[in-house]
Amino acid sequence: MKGLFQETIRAAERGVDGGEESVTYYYVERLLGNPSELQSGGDEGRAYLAVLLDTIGLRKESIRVLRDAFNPGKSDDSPALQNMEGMLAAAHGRYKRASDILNDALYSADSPQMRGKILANLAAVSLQAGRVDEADAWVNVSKSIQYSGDPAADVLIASVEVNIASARGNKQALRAAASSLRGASGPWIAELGPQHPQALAVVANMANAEIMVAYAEDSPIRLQHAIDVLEVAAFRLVAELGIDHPQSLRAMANLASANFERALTSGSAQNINQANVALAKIHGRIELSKREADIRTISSVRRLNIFGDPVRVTARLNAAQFNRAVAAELRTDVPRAYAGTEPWHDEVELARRIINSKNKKERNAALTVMVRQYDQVVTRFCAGMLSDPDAALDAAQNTFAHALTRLGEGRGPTLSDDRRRDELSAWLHIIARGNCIRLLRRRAQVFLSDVSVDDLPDDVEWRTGEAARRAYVQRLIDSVVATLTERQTQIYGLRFVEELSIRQIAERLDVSPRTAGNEVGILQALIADGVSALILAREGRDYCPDLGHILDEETFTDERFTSNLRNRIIRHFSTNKLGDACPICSSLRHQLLAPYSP
Amino acid sequence: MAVSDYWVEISRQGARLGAGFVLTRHHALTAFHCLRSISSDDEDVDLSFASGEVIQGRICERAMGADLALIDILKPNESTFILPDADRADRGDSWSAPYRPTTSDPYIGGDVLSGAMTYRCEAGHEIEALQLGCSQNLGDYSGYSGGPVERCVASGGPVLLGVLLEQYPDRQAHGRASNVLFAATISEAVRRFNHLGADHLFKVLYSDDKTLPISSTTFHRYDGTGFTYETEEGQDSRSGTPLESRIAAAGSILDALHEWVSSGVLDPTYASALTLRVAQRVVESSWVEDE
Repeated sequence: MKGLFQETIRAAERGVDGGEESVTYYYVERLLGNPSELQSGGDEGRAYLAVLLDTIGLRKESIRVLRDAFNPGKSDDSPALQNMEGMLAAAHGRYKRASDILNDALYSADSPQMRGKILANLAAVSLQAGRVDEADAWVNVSKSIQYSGDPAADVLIASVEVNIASARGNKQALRAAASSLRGASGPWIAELGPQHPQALAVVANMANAEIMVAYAEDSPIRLQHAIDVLEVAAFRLVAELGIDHPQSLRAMANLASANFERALTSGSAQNINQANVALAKIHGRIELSKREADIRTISSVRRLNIFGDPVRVTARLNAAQFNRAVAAELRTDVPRAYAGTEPWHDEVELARRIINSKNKKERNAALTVMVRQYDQVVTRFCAGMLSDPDAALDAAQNTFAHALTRLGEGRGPTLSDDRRRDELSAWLHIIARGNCIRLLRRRAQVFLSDVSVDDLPDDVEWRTGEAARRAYVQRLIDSVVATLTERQTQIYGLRFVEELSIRQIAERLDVSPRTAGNEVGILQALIADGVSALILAREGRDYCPDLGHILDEETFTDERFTSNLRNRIIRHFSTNKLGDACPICSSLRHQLLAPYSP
Repeated sequence: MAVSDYWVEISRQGARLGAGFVLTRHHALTAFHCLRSISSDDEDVDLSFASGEVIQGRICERAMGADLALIDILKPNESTFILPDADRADRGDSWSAPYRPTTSDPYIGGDVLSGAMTYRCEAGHEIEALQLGCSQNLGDYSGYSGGPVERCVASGGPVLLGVLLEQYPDRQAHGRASNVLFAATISEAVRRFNHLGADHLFKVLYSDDKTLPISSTTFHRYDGTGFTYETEEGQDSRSGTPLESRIAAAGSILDALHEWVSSGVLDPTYASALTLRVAQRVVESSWVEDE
């Protein structure tokens, strides 16, 4: 492994730990432009780097690292790399693509061990996609040819068998599968060591299988025992990997489900309520993480901000993380070339050093300062244009990549004397604007052009009922609008039916633009919360006893959604001044809204 | 049990020992020095929640070098326990400690100065620790040890970051603490216990006796002189053959040797020779068993 490859791995690892992603991007671009450096990583190194890049959101780059970067469109024909690409596609819910890639990998794999791995992954992907029979077929292929020797593949095959048996309600097969899972897991745990996160994930997986067996055998003692083990394993995974890691989420979700089932059989209202809160909490997290990607699509409904909350949450999280990283970097790691008396903060001086300096070290230090100094400004600018924090980060990274390339080619900004201060900043903004426009055009093409279904991710493919969904959401909004006061209804008509500007609304209502703006803002929030309240009223009764009580008192029916009921439910799930929002409903409303979101 | 009720006050026969917090339905975590006065022949303690509920606990494992101890909860609550989210801290995070020794003491909090640093704690081992700047200049933070360290978040539940262990002395005023505190990160804390390791959980999961709670089956216990591998009842390991027991016991001895080398008690060269002898004994005993 050559120096640049190692540097890129280190940069990506720092990125995973919260370090600056643009630095990783810079290294990755250099690596992808250098064939011998990229090949020097070997299959294992490239697969590892791809996972790191995928984790920090550089998904396209992760695929480019796996594929032959110098013959775009052509696979590298390395089954190990194809296998990894397939698993990354599956991790993002693109099961069809994952199956296709893994099939190709299986075709080109020549070692029995690699075939065993790929077959196990094919079985797991089929199961994740809900194709139980197909998963079973892959398991049978794997067993009949007896590709073994890889403990991870053996455990995965046994896990798939447990899930297939459970899905089919076949007790005998379930017992046999759980037993083979135990046999396969023991050696792997011993190989990994007792404190390895993967070993803990294997234990959580086994405990979940034991829970299924306990249900099948109707054994409460066995169930409790397995839940206790799952609880410890899940907590350890959260502590080691963080709550949003897929392994942690899976273990926590299994634990919450098992606890909920157990609470239901106990019949204690308090137990059910607490188990419900835990379940809602973890499902809310899962939905939120899924919807981060989903929320990127464009919809006219978004103007009402009904589905805006997760975007704002994500934006805040990204901003906080970003600010922390920048603050930390600037406090401790100002490049030595510019520390002390050097005017590194002077924009023109900085640009001059970047463009004119003959000293490579000094020039690189200046480039680093430029990225740090303008990253936040450029990211904010991109966020403003794209209304999407993740896309904004990507666009900002592209901006600096382009800027660094152009500067390297001597195509930097012209430094005139009369507009000294803004040259570099303006130049970066022009590049950023171009990147954002390209991204927006590409988004539009996804929806408007005749790209084949196979080229779309599965979640878009799934959304073929777009018109029906939109019509349903419109009916929800109509029901909420029916609960508005006369003036609110008038403002709704002006803003969202006639699509007037704030100034035009102010003229119509004979109020100041500021007052009109405030009223529109309040109305938007009210409609967004009102839709949540309506969905909770229709679908949330079984989850929350307090909500059920409110609905009974207000004698709710689908045709009878009143302003009083709307306000009571909003008060129930919103955080009010006393901070006593219902934890079930405040999380549940996001889950219930998810299927209708764009 | 609400998520805010997971921290406990640890006491014994009415005497307050320190703070701790519940990790799972069966386990609570604290700083080992809080339990220093407890002898190994009677390890029962009382755990009092903020709600006033008191439950019985028993020390199940000590990580003396890292100043941490794990407590069994003897009669776990039947209802679902809602764990706080655990996370890694970043420099600049705001932290707070939800536990205070008495109602006349203030809550403490401040900024995280380092999210994951290597720190040699007073107990001797290097641990992954949080360095915390405390906004309340109390001069003495005794009584807060063992309690949880949380990240302050505007919305949602608390986020668990670590367990409070030490105060750093003021270098100019002897006998007075500076406002720098150290806590073990939560991942470091749970990594220190064999009871929470994957191999132990594996054994528990497939234990024949499903009526035994998770903590009373086989485990490694450090009693100050060495590791023993035993059940709560003090019998030999229930798992597997005598050979497997010997292998497990050998593992305990090797762990102890490793710990002594890390803490400087034992010379590494001498430890290597001892390691070889332990391995030889196990191999020889396996031959005897085969014959």
